[in-house]
Amino acid sequence: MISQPGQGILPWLSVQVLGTITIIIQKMRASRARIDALILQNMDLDATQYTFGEAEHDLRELFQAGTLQSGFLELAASAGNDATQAADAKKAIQARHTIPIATAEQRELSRKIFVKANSLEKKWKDNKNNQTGKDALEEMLKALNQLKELGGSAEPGLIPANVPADEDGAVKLIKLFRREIMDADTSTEKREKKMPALAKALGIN
Amino acid sequence: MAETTHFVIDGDATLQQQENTLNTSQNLRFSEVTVYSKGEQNPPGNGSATTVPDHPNFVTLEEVGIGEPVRELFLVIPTDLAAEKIRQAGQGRSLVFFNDVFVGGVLQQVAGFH
Repeated sequence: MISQPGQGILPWLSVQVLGTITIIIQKMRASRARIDALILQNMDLDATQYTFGEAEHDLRELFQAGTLQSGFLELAASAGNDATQAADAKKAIQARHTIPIATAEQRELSRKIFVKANSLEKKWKDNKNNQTGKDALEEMLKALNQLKELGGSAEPGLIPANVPADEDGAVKLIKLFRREIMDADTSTEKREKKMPALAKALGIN
Repeated sequence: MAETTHFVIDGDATLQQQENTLNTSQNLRFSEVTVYSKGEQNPPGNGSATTVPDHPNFVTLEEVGIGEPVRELFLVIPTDLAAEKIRQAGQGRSLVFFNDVFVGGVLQQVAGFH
């Protein structure tokens, strides 16, 4: 049966086509606006930084950006981005590491390790420019070196030979110290072996 | 410095085991739990093949700054959340999350307090 005006498949089809055309036009506008913004940004540069050749190229791009072809390309790129983002999100969920279940004893030992490590960090933070702060870094460095002998995870060469004199170096050392402790939480085996080693290196009974 | 990380906890574990695990991770990772809720359930028997538990719970941890404290986390299955919040506030704790979480493989509404 042929559909009558105002009902059946033809009005539905026209709505769908109209919707698609609207999307493509929006993509064409988005494409042109992006090039437009780039040109405006480059106009702040002087003639040596934004040459006549570059300006001509951008003008051609601006013309091309308003065409139907660019609308389709923009739409395809946008769909591609959505698919990539969705795939990345899926991968991120699949890549989530499962933390091993901890015992009450491990919880207690981890608390002691944190309290000790946190006290060293705080000591440095409150005494960045004096000997007390340096002593705190010294203690972290000593613990890192001791852990290295016990099979620590820090790559050779990453542990500094001496206590860093500047703040950036100190922060790097603290991050390395934290990473070494965090590594104990990555598997059941590491929890069992590394936590007692950490406790020993930090002088926890 | 604040870094956010996401992990999975086995939802077949008891509430106490999960609380022990979350606190151990908070301490060793210099982080605090900001989100804890049930994850997408695996088809039965798929757990061992993908190393993702059959009843996964998703946790989000946020690293604290240098020298900053990490507050202990307490998990509760409250019968009355409003009353539980008042009770916990009396001990200086505030609500972090109240979500569906797998406990012993079964969905429960779990509240976390710092």
